[in-house]
Amino acid sequence: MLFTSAKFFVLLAATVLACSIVRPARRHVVLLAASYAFYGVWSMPYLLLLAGATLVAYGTARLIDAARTDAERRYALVAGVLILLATLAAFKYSGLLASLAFAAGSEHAASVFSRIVMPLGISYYTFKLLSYVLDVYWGKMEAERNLTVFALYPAFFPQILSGPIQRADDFLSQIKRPIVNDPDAITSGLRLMLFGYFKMRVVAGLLAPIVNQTFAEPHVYSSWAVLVASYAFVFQLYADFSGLTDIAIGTGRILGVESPPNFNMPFTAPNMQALWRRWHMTLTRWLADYVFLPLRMALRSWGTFGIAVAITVNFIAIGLWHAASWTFLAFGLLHAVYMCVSVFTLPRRDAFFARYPALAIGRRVWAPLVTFQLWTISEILFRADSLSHAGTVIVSILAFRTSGLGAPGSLALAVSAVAIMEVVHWIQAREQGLRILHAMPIVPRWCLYYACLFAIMIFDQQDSTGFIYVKF
Amino acid sequence: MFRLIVRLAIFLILPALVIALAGWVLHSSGELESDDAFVQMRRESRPFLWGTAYSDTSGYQKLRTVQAEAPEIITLGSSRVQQFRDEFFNGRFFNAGSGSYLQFDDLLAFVRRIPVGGEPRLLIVGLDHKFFNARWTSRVDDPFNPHTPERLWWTMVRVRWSDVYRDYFAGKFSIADLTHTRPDGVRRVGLQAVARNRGYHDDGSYTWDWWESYDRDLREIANDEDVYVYGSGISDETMAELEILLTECQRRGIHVAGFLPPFAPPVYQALKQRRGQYGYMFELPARLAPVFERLGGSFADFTNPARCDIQRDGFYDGQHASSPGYRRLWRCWTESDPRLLRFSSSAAHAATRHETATREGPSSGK
Repeated sequence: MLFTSAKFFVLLAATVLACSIVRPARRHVVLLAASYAFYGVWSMPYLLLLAGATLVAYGTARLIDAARTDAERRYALVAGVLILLATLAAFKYSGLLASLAFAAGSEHAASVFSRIVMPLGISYYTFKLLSYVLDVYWGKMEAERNLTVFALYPAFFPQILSGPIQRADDFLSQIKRPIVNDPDAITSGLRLMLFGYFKMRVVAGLLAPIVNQTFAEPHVYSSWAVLVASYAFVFQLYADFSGLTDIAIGTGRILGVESPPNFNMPFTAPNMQALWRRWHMTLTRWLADYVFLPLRMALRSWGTFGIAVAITVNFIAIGLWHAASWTFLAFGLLHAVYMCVSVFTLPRRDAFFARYPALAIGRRVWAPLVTFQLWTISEILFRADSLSHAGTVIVSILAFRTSGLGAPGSLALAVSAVAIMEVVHWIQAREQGLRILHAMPIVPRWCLYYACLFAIMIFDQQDSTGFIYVKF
Repeated sequence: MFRLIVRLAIFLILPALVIALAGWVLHSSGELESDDAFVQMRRESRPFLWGTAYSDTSGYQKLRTVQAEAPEIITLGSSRVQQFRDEFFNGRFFNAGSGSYLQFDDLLAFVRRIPVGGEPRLLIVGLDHKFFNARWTSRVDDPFNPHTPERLWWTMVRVRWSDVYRDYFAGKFSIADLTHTRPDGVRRVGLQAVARNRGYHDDGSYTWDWWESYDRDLREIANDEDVYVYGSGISDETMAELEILLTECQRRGIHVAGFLPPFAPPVYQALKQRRGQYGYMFELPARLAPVFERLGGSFADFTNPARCDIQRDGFYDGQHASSPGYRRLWRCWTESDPRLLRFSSSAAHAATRHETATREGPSSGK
């Protein structure tokens, strides 16, 4: 079940209705039933996998809690983490495992792995469960005793497809509070969903043909067209993913759960560190807390080199989290290089611009532009089917070819949609913007909502775009 | 909370009305009819016109009809054969031509799906020139793929509602078209049929009662575009497919009559002037004739409309001859190939003679 299907809206309406009927303290049962129905409609066997992973994390945390020695706690942790990671690897990297099995001469194993379909949201719920187990082990939170309350954490249907990756203590503390229907929160959630659908269906939908057609045959397009498509992909991915996130956060808000933000105007970031703090924020924070920082602490005796290793491992993990492919590995490595250069040169750059304040004004303009260019280059790797395909795209841009086809699709319409999206982001990012929206008389406010709604309805073309981030 | 629900309901009234009105237009015009309704309506004696504006599954409908009814005479090809009418023939006829057949392979696939025992006696195949152009490329969708009920109902309304309004405000149809029934007793399905009287007749032929122009054809010729893409070589692949089709038909006792359809006089002249760029087109008759002769079929080249004296009024546009144009072509063909004469109705010949006499005027008899 996807967020655009009629079934989703029926389920959401039924869940809200059921939540308003049952006692507030029992709402988690309704939400769990709805979440399992959401997932079960897609696949019953994979629903069992989700339930199994939930039980593993629940049991591991309880064992850690009950352990009497550090060794017992460690054994429980290692066992639980290994089971969760092995399950994730077996399903998410089945393609790679099939290739390895084939290379090793085991055709039977290769055929078994190649038949595996990746369960929806497995990366997201596994990361949630891992963070929970680790947080319990590190004593950041106590193990949850109520299984139905805990089972809702990985399964919560607004978040299961594409995050945000909410931390267990934040989520469980909200669920355990009696949730009351708050009309303001519901209105705010609906508004966020509306903007999310606008981004996903209108903005990403308009950019998709430009990107898909050009990336399919970059050699037949002019360099300008390929460059435009590269920029278009950056915004397509952003619109698609942040749109999905808005729908997830909006849906959660309607159901009484506040989710963490995942984006904060990333393309205005002045450097790569800042950009990664604003892009897929919950994943970045997860990896920083559970990969980078432990590694950084373990390698602190190595000095600067230790930091570089920790950064590299962290970004390789980000790349491979998307999929086990050379393009995502290259994406991760490129960002590791970006980040190392950025981290190690930032103090000197800051000192330089402190000495020349006149130049610092210009820095405010060009720093986000340079950062955006670097990001766009890396996104070519993200979009390409293979390294050679990425090479063809980059060569097509650098060839400065004036002949060839122009950018396909309606560029003017797509640029307008991106501009509207950025205005929406600007409003969302500022308290003042939201206050202006709230204070607007009902007629212009509804006109704005209708404009969004009708744009979605007009540009909604038979799932022509698909969701990019759901597949991760 | 109650106030919120009421406001939400009020907010949704407008989009719901917009969608509902478009849904009503689609429903009442017949756009949402199931594709199998075409075959069912053929079983009823009442004449009909099937002209959906937002979907075209004519490939599927034509195949289903042939499979269900086993007509004795079939015309098969692209939109350029759709003007052959029932009245031309002596025998149970069905025009299986469809604009969704974009390559010769589609015709071969059609023939292969004719059930054993249900073979026609005569299969007239429109050898659309573009099929034989080695440079011609088209999509690879299956033209025999039917709409599923889901696609036809909710998806159609969801995807096409804005087209309904666009077409309404462009004046392509009016509400009166949907609420009034024409007194001719013909059942009309689809907005094209209801509002513009266009669509597939019950004999499978297409009613195309408007004059386009040659502009588009001449522009495409000048620009090396679309069906007029230049080409010097004949596609070996299509020639091989033709041989397979003829062999299969010979084996199954189907007489195949293949023809190169005519172009309108100005378009033919423009093509001739670019003979160098359309090398494949002018080589075709010499390549096709021996193949048909070897495999026992009839073949005729009507590329030049002057061959059957089809003049400007015999065309809807540069490449689609009208029904009178095809009547003339059919008569011309049966006169030159006696094997086809037994399939021809005398009424068609009489009509052609009458039309010729009317056009040539009183002095023509001198």
